[in-house]
Amino acid sequence: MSDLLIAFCLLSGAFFMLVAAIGILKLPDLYQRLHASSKAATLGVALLLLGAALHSSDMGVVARCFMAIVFFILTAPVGAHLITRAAYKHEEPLAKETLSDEWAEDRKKPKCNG
Amino acid sequence: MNVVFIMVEVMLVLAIGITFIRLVIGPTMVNRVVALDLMAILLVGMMACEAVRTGEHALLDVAVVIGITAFIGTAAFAVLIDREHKDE
Repeated sequence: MSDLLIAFCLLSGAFFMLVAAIGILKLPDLYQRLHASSKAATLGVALLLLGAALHSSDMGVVARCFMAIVFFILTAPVGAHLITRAAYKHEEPLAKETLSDEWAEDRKKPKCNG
Repeated sequence: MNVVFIMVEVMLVLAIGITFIRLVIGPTMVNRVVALDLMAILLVGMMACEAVRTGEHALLDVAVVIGITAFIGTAAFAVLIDREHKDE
């Protein structure tokens, strides 16, 4: 039973990480790529670490796994936000299918509060 | 259980290969930073899988350190790109 649960965690985690990698290759612009990499990869790594936590009977290892999971859940959005903001300021092009870009005028203006 | 480990490893290696393609072709620097970040997270996943397979739980510490390094690297690249923009 426990083995089955571990195998399920590991396989689904690896699947989500593969989805993230395919997303980063196939999606049309940086913002959508970040969407794939920050969400799917976080879920994938959390599932893999959960598998490792279930495998061990040592409390210290379980605590370390959960610390790693919390760390990834906390830092993935922060990193993605930092990168997206920098890219948007740097006029990274948006996909052709984008419907609205409300800051398009703003970011073309020269900055005065450098 | 052995089949599971082989499948997981194959999927993760495939994912790293696919991410590497984006790292090579990525039209701008930001794309490459994103690909590098994803590669580090994939490595962490691989470490977790190896920790289960070998029973060597010290690998989990390595995984945490790789994760922290990847986050600091991403943040540093974001600041670098921001600063480049400011100079223009």
